[in-house]
Amino acid sequence: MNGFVTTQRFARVLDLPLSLAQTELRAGKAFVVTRIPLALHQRLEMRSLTIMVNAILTPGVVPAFLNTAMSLCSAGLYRSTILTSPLAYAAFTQMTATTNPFSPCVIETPGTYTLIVSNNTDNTDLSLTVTGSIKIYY
Amino acid sequence: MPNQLESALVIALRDTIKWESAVVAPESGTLTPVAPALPFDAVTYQERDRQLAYRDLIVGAAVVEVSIQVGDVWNYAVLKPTLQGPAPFSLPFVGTEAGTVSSQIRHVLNTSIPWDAARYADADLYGRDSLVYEVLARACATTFVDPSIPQIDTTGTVIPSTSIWSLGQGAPMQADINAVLPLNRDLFKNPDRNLAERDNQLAGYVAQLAQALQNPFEHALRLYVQIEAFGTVQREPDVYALTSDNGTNRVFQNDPALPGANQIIYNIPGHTLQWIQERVDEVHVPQIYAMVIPGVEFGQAIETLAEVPERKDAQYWRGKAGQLQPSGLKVSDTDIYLTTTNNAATQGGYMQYGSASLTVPDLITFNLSGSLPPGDYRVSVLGKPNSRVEIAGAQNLTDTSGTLGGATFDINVPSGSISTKPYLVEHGDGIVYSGSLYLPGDVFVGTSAVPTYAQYGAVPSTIRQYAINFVLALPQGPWNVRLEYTNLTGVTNYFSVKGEYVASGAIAVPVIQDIAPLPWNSTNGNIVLTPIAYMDVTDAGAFAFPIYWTGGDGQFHVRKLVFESAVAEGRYAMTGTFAGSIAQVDVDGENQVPGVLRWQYYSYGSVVGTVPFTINYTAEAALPIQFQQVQIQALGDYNPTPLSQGFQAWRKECVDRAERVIVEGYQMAVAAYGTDIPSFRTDGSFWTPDASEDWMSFVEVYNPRVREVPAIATDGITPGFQYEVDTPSVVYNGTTFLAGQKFYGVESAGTVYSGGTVHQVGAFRKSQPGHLGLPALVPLGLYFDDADKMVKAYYDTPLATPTIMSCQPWMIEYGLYIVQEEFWMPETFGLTLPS
Repeated sequence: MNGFVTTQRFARVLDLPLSLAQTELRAGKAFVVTRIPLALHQRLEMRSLTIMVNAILTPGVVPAFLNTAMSLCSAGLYRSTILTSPLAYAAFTQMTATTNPFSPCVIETPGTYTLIVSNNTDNTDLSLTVTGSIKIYY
Repeated sequence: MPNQLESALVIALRDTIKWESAVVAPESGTLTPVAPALPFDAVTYQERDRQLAYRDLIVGAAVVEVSIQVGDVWNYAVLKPTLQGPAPFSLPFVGTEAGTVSSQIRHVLNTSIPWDAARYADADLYGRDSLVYEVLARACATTFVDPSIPQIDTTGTVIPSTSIWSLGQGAPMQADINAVLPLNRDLFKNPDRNLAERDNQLAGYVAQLAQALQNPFEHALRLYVQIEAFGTVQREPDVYALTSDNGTNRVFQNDPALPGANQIIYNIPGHTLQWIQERVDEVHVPQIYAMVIPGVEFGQAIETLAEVPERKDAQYWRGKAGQLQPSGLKVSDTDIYLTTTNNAATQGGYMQYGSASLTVPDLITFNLSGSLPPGDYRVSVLGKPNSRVEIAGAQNLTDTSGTLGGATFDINVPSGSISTKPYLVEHGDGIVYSGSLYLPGDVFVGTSAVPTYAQYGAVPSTIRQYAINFVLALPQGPWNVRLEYTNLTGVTNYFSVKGEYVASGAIAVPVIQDIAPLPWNSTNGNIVLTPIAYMDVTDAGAFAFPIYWTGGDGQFHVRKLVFESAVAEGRYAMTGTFAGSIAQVDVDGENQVPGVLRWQYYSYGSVVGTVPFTINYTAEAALPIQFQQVQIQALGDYNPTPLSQGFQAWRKECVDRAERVIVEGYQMAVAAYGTDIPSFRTDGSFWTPDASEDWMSFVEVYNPRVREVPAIATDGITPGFQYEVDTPSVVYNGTTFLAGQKFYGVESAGTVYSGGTVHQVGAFRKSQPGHLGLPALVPLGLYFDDADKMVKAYYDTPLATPTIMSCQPWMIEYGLYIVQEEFWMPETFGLTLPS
């Protein structure tokens, strides 16, 4: 977005905080946190997305990955239902994983975008939290 | 030239070159002539002096003009005189008017006659004006590519490089030749001394200017510097702005303005220049100042350009982005990929029209070419779940091929051409083949061992192909099927066609019935569809699907078999094997919505030659999937630029700047085309991969370095576009360029190069599966229509402004472009690769 943010412009900038409170996500499960329909001339910027594992609820198992590339669990912004196809994502490899806030995910093409969080293992239940920030310019 | 100006530097400059009594001199450069044989006429002498005064004003205007150029280039406010009126800045010169052109003035003496004032003093003043101007013009010409004032004597044969200025004896005074004044020495000398003094003032200004031109580093507030190596530009011209001047060091810095980096430091006492780049592993030894000095590396040169910074394009910002390495995980492209899969690199699965596919759980292998060192890799595959399975006619097992991937039934097969196909005998009395008699209407299967047959009876029969056979597998359940077919040659008004579903070990089930012939009333070659036929697939195993041409003349041609089910979603559990290592994908896909399947491998060993990637699709048999592209990327860590913590958004900033300049160029193109703007949409609002290319061509009209195009044809050089050599060397415009060197296409050099291959240079490249989420250049209003499962463009060209946004899977399928790797940033923040 170029130019000055005038009062009138500011009124058409919507901040959407993303917050999934501590949630138990069973092995192999995924669910939609939010679904954002974007119309023509609207602009979505996902500034950040963070996933945090609070606890591993199935101790003592070696995780069997369903989607190796997405690590233990992940949260991402999607245009399709294919979990390995995120436009931006945070995949858990350490205690917390976050998207690069210096490189926001920008979308200006109309469509419905979904924020999906998934447990990418076949045998490990997790307790996790997702937070993030989205701006919509309209 | 510098020496001749030194003495003029001591002159105390006045801030104004006054108009005084100047009158406009003839544009021809001549002065009002004096006829010595005629009676003395003071007005003529007065007019000549006034014309000389006007020539001083021209020189003054030239000084101002050059000062402005110096200011534009170096951002340095050079001293310049105030003029009391407009004057041209191009000084005319006529050699016969000039005297010694040696900076001295032969003033009149008490012994002089009036004519001496004209033939000596005026001529010398004329020559001195010219000398002052020419010195300035030469300094300007040797400094600037596009000097602001023209030279008088470009060959240097008329006006010498005179070194003394002080001989131009002058004194400021208001004096004029006038008939009412006494006719004595001072009547002529005083006005001439005044003119000489004006010349001295101008010489002083020229000396100041020449100083600034001679060593801009002493004065400049801005430098424009380019880094070169062996004839190729390593860093395009950058603006270095003066950030500090402590009397000893003048520090110029450019973006990214990292602490203590990207600087040029001019040491005033030492007269040296030092370049400090963003890396700290190589130190530049300070060099004696010059416009071109040696750089850090062997063969490298740092050139200070005397040019006004031009409008920067996306490719420039690509270079700037690459000057800073961010911190974090790095994903980089390898040269191992498949942009299409319907080729010999694919083994297994079922080849569909346009791409390889797995219709049911099965194995498919992509044999990629290249070599990889040990490391971590990501394999990305552009997949498209699709309930519509299109099998090209040529994919039959009956060795029957045809135009555009179809299968053309053989007709009028002569004896000697029988192969392993089913044939039908038509007309006549029949034939004898392999010892057996076949009457009209009989069918036989040829063998390669017996290619000939013999006619039986008096009336000859004709032989044509009877059937082609397909084998494929589909998920269990209801399907419908249609044929795309045509008549290629001959005349017919119908085809009788039969298709059967033959499951393994089961009896054939008729699917396409030949009881009702297919009418043919179209033009030969036009593709038409059979009515929908329904069938139930009993299991996911392979089945045969023979197509029989049972009746009708002409030449039957099957372009495609099209199977379709109503399944909307499917699950894909797939194990990817990458030369011994395995990784998993288990995802859900939606019908006709493309996505990227991604496998990631850690601590993978090296491989040389063929790099196989195998997908073992284990579950579930519901919705077939096409594999359109495959790409291997390397995973690693960036080696961050020192002290760049505060600059993590630099690359994003460069993307934004590139977007702005592209939009600006696009709007210029729209304005230039006026009402004749091409449209790239088809059938209203539909978009195609070809439309993406055409639209990029339009973007390139005012942004010639926006798109990278590989492997330019040897006659494909376009003026204004930049090219980089891929192979050892190419010759263009009479110059040999080595690998990595770049050149621009120029009108006069034509479109042909020779000797190797080049690619077109650009800040964007065609997207591939691994580029998901990267900034892509997209026409505003382009979108994936969820109802039609097609990409559409809401706007036509004038409003389809380039917009940079995250790359989505359908953008990859439709061939949109993403930013080059120099713009990429870590996907995640603050992480390292798992060990």
